Amino acid sequence: MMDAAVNTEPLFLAVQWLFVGYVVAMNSGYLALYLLSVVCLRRSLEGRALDVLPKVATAYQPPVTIIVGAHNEQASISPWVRALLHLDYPEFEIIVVNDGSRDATLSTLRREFRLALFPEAAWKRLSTRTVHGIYRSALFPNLRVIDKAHGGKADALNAGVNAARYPLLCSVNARSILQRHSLSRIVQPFLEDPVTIAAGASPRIANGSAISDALLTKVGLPRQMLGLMQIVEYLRTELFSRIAWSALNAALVIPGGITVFRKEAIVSVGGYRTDVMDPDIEVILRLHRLYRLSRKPYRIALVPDPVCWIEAPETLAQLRRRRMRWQRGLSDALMVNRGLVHPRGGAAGWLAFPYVALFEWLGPLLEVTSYAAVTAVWLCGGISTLAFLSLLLMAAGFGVLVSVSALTLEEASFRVYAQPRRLGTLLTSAVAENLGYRQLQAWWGLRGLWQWLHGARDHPDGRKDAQQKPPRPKRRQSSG
Amino acid sequence: MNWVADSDPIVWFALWCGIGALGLTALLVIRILLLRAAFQARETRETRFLSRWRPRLLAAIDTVPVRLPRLKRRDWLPFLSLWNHFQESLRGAARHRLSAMALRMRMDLAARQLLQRGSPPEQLMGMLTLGHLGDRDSWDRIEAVARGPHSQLSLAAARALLLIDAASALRALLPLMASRADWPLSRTQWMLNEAGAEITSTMLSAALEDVPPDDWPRLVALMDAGHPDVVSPVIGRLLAGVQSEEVLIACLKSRHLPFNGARLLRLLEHPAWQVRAQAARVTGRMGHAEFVSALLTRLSDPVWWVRYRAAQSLVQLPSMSPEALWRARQTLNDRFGCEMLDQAVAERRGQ
Repeated sequence: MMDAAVNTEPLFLAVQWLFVGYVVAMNSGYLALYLLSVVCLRRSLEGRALDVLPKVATAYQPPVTIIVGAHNEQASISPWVRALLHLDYPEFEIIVVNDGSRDATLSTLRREFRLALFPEAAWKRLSTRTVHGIYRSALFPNLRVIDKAHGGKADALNAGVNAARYPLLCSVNARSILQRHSLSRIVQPFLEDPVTIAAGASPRIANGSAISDALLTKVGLPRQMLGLMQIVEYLRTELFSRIAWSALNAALVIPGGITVFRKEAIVSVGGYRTDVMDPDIEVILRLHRLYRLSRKPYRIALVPDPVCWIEAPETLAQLRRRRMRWQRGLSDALMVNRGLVHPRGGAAGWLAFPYVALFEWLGPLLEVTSYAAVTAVWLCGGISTLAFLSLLLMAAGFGVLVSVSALTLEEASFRVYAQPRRLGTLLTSAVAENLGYRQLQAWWGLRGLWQWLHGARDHPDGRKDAQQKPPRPKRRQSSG
Repeated sequence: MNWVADSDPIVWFALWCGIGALGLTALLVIRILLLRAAFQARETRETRFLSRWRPRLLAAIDTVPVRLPRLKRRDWLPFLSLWNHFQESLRGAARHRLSAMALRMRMDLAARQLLQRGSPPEQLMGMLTLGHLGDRDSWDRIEAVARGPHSQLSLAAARALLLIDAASALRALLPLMASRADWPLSRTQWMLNEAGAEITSTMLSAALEDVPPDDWPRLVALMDAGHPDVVSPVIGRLLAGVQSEEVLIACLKSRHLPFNGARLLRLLEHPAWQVRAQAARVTGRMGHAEFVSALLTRLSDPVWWVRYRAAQSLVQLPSMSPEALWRARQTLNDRFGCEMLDQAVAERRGQ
């Protein structure tokens, strides 16, 4: 008995150190990023002191092509396109890509916007599935619709890139809810810095907000705790940490709610890849990798303002699916672009990539393993209940600290949730988020990782199967 | 069976970390509440302040009030924000009366103090105020900021100098305007437009001598703010003599590009496709029939954009009636050229 005790003691001690080490490292990373984002946000907001004055330079905003991929969206496509047409921006065109919808998406668009076939000379800079036809609206000259064979989101976006007329491309997810000023705000980095090749925005949660004509008009809070916890989670993981990485020009993961690219940058890296789970995340990583490695000056910016809103999942099943899918998408994107860890990788390759790989990609594995191991050690009697509770207290304490830090920064910057009662609700959610929700997310993340390891992939239409890889797009040399 | 005693350092570490984190969280919650309270108090104060001062400023547009109170330090920023808002929205004598009002309230001193000792937002507001007041005494300090590394402050300083004395500011700043990539081109163009073509034209043209050739494309873009009579000959000379693709493209994009048919025809054959595309676009705008043959040739260009611009220009030319276009299409052997012409005709019809 004594022999066994002597043999297992180092193991139990190692488990505790693993747990403590992981919790301290992850949360210290968050807190460091939080502190950096405080500095960046202060600087960004200070520069806006004159924004209260009448706007003067809007006529100089570059024209933008908005690309919208649509697959079986007959119910929502018309109001959504109308909302885009109402964006407050001097010059833009909208290209809706009907990606082989099996429902009435195309006929709805044709009827609502009086579309007519248009003899457009093809310019296939990026290869895509067959384009059946290009339509132009008789009501809105800046609206075109491409009807093409089903090829997934990346293929649809590539078709849109081929047809785009303007130097900036804006990719908008069909689930994103915008505000009238969204496009003006997100184009700002291109006006401020000529080497900007991409700009994105972290989405905010729209549940509970007032939406009129598919545009967000008044911010509100969801009634359900699940939605509230997602608000805090998005502030913590998607906004303030990404702002800090953006300051180092190392924001590797920019959610694809709304992203603006310089068209030539997208074309020069070969467009969106059709063989990855999440083309939005992958293309940003690839831009970082190829621009860093070729030593071209560039900037990929994250706009901190609330410009893009999404409907958060309202059931655990929906949330689980989204979380697992995100984990698989991230895994794909990181694997494909692991070459970013290169002597010329800079902050993106040597700081951001290891951080994202350790805490976002492998994070679920480490977190679940740590919790499971500590619990097992406690159940085996390896540590006392007091020790076990101390470890849990540390994990929860750090988690709550990071979540409340994010809320503090939100309060000091944008004050999106201005009413006092909303603040109380969010503070409660910041505590509750660390008592089960984060651990559940880690578990789903681990399952996503497992699925990715076993080759499970999503079809563009939402089905899932194994080892289905569409052919990789090849860049055409000829422009004719 | 408890090998690890409760006094184990790791347990204590975890325990104190947890307690420390929760303690810091409590401090952050207090910070949030204080921020909220401060924000609400400031908002209430500013709302009250603006409701009192907006009517006074509106009245000052017609007549400068004789008696005006001195403002407290904390009210400077909301007042100047409102005052500058009026200044930016108005023209002519109304602006002068607002300036007189601000001077009577000694806001020039306040603005100088903000510039010297304020935070960056206060410095921005201070410089804009001094600009609108035409405060020459602050010239050196503002010029130092304009030459500084901070993009937003330097740009605001440049504008303030232009407001104080456009001619002197242009003499000092034009090389900076042409070289500072961190000053958005759109914003710089707007500032030059605001200064007026009478002042900017000659200086922009003369600046070509002082600016290194690498900055010429940006300088040519800035020349859009000049008067065509002055700027066009300069751009014409550049277009005729320069080899740099970037400068050629900038000249072809210029609003003041003079007509030079022979040169444009040569540029339609330029090895760089971006130059050919710009030349093709410009020929349509010029509207001369002599370009038809060259544009028809460009319809077979290997680059899509050159074909597109050539087709767009062809359908714009007054000499190209629908019948003439149809006849021209019959002469084309290139499928891509035919498709492009069809597209341009359809686009024209749809407009």
